[in-house]
Amino acid sequence: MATVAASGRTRRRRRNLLESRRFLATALIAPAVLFILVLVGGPLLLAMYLSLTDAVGGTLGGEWVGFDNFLNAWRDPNFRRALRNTLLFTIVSQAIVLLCAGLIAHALTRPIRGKWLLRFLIILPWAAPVPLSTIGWLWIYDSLFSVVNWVAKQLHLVDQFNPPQWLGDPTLALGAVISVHAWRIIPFAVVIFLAGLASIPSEVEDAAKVDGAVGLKKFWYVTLPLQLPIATVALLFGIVFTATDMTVVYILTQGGPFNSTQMLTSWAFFTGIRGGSLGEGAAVSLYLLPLLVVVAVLMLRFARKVEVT
Amino acid sequence: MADKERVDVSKLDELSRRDLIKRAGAGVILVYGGLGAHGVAYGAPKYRQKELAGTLRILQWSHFVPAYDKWFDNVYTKAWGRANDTEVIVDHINQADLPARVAAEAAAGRGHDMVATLAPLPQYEDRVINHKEIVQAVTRKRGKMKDVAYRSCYNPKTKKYFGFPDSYAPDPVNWRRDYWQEVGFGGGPTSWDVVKRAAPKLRENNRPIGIGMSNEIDSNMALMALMMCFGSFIQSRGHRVTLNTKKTVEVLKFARDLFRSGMSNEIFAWTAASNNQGFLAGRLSLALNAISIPRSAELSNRDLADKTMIAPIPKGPNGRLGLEHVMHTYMVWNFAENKRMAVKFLADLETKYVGAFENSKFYNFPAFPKSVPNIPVRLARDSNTPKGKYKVLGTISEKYTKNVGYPGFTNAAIGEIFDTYLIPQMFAEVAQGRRTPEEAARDYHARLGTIYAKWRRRGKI
Repeated sequence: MATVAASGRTRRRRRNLLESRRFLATALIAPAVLFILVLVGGPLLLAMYLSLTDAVGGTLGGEWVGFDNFLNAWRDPNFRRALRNTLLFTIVSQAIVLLCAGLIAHALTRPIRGKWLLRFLIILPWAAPVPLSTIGWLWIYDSLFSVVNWVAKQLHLVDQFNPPQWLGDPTLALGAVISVHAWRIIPFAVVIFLAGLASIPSEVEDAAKVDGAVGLKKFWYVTLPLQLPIATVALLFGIVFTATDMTVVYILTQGGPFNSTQMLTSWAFFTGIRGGSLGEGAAVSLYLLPLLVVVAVLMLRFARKVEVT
Repeated sequence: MADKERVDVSKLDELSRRDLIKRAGAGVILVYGGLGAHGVAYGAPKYRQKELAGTLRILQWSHFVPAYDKWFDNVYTKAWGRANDTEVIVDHINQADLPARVAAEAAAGRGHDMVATLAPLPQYEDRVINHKEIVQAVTRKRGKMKDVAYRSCYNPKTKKYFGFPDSYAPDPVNWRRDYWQEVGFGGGPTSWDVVKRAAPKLRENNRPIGIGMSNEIDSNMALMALMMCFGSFIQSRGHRVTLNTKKTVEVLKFARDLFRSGMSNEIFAWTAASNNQGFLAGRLSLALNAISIPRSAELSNRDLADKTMIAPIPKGPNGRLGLEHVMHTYMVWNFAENKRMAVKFLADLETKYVGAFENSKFYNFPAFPKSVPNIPVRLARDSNTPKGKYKVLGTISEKYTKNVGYPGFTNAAIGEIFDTYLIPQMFAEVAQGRRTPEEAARDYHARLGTIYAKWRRRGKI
């Protein structure tokens, strides 16, 4: 009898525990926290440790060298160019993304024939694996078989012997990398913008119409302010996706011509993994950390803002 | 007898469901139990006719000549495996993916027993065994290793063989006989001076010279070889940086002038495959590459193959000094599970290298020359036209093939310079007029010095 009573108490306690918001919240969020600690926190701490040692490829430790790796990296002109490129690629590509995604999303809200097919086609670049689609771009920009150059040659728009080298001229190569980054992130931004547009209540639209706000005026005074929070979310995600990516540069240019398109990620790879200076490679990659911390804080603040409203 | 044992289907109806399950269960236990006991006793059967005790795992590139991989995977390793009671598992990946994979295995301390790379990787010296034992075993049977291989895989500072090179690929110049004849240079690119004189005429005919100045392996090889022909070296015999010299300025000026007079700007955008593609498309009149160009032409375009000639690197003010195009190097990890068989496998492979040499269509030259008897005769026997075209590979391998980092040894600093493409970067900046040759020689000397100092501090140079 006593045993039955005891087991009943245990069951009740368990049920009460599950009813407790504090316990349940902790239990539900624990797997995600564990996941992040193991797969993000662990490697991040390891990278910090390696950046302070003279670790070489294939090892996970070395002699303590303090901030030498950071200083050595800073003195290297290739590193400084990679840092500048990371900022340039991110800012310019995101400006293009915001502009194009805004226009496309607005166009797609209008009643046009074949809208679903259009939406499907726009989403495709996002669905395709980045390495595959970048290889496609590599062929579009190829030094010998570029389809762009072929068309331009047929139309006698370029020098037949020396057509533009999209990946061989530093300025054009920067443009090529930016265009691929923008191309792959535009679909993601379009989806977010569409969701944002759909969330604007029809009453607001009607009220704007009654007040005589149409066209650009309506966009400036009504749609844009309402869309701004969601656009910022797209922007912050876009910054993270671009600044931390090395696939595009690695496949498209290998950092060339003459290392003029290196990003921090690719230069960290070439220095740390290919070149064997693992500690210095870790230091190069950690230069990204402050930028990403700022972006992460902004993302969290915006997320909270949206939650409150 | 067989008929008696066969189950009579007509009687199945008479069995109860329980009996049927019992009998079926007993049958299953008998069959699988028997097999299981067999497995426990002898290990899992790997081959239909013979069970093998050990396993040896190898990671290497997908060879440029597919016939080599077929022979290596299906003939050589199978036969060796049967003879040595070891299952050999060979995984192939693209050569461009090898460095990252090798780094991952080294860091994890797990993976294959040995990996083969297209260039020695001295930075992993602490993660591999000393391959001296293999070198000694082969030397006892086949005599000395070639100097180019020795200098590529031995660290004189630590006295360690950080890899075992089974083969290397000589690096000839590929040139179009018809194009060069058209412009009055039928003798081909015999010297860099001839190349410079022929270049404007070839370019006029839309047949540019193709020497890459891009972030890829062939550009590295071609430009380092060009430097040596002009007497410019990255390091001295004693492993000190020696870039800032008049010879370097001279070679940079030469390359800049050659680019302006005889090349197109596509060379700055090349991938490792671009010079092959440009040559096979009929655009280039000259390219520095291994024999992948004529071999590809022989498969796809006989006419082009007949017009494609191979020659030693052109003579420069410092003579002819070329590099190996590939130094195929095996590294046995010090965490390998089957080190003993890895060592034996490599010693056996090298001792009888004829199959590898023939099946790679002369791409793999043995690191121990006596491992393949009568190399000149074999080269002359090649049936492709013009007859005897490949004979020159013998001369190139004997006389003009040096290691990366010559006159010193290949070392970790050379490896980092190679993998961060600093030499193509230097040449490209000068060719595009972004730096004067003097500035470039001075600046890159300092940059290379930083890398050397770093590796010297680590005790590797």
